Amino acid sequence: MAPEVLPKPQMRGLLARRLRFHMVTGFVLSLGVAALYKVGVADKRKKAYADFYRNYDAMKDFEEMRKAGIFQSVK
Amino acid sequence: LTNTSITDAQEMETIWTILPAIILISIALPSLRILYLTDEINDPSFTIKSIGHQWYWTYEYTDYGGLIFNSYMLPPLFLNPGDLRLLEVDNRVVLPIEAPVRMMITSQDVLHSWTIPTLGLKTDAVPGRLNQTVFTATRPGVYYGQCSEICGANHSFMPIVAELIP
Repeated sequence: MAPEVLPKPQMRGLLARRLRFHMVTGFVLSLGVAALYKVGVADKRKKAYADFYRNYDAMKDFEEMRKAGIFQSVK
Repeated sequence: LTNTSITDAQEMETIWTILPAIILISIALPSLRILYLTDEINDPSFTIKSIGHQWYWTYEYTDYGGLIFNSYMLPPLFLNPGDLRLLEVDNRVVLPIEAPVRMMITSQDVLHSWTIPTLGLKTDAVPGRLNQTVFTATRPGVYYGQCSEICGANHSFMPIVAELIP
């Protein structure tokens, strides 16, 4: 009975293959995470500030605080 | 990178020295630009001096006339209901909103640090040196801070209270 012949495993270039995989993956992941952060965190935060200040009335806020009596210099 | 029979790897070593250096420089230059931009001249409309002592602050408004006063922490016995313990002072520093304000900060004795976290301000008060910080507040209110450089027994008891009004 002929013994079962397994396919010859990959014997060479293992380090090179690992390096290529990790360099490409690292590059793509870092760019991807940076882009996601920019859109999901940084731009979202800037938009939140812009939206808040678009219709913000500092005088109205001030008058409410003044009536609540928190200031010492204006009553 | 994976050739095991190289004896002289001069080119490879040059590349993996120069390339990271270029990457780091390309990160550093915009970062330095932003750092210097934060020191931009924004023509403040108002200048106040803040002088740290052991253990209180002195504020000098000398732009229009001379107003100088001390700001001591209110001891707990002197607090009103609703006041914040270890944060209230007798005389608050009153500042305008929506105008660039320049704070010149120094110290009479030891190191202190003039801090208001909610305004993003922290500047060391160094004896013999005048440090400057400029800010433009957008919202009125009462802002609290505490001395942020160890300065002796009552370092925790010299708070800063800023009243920002239009």
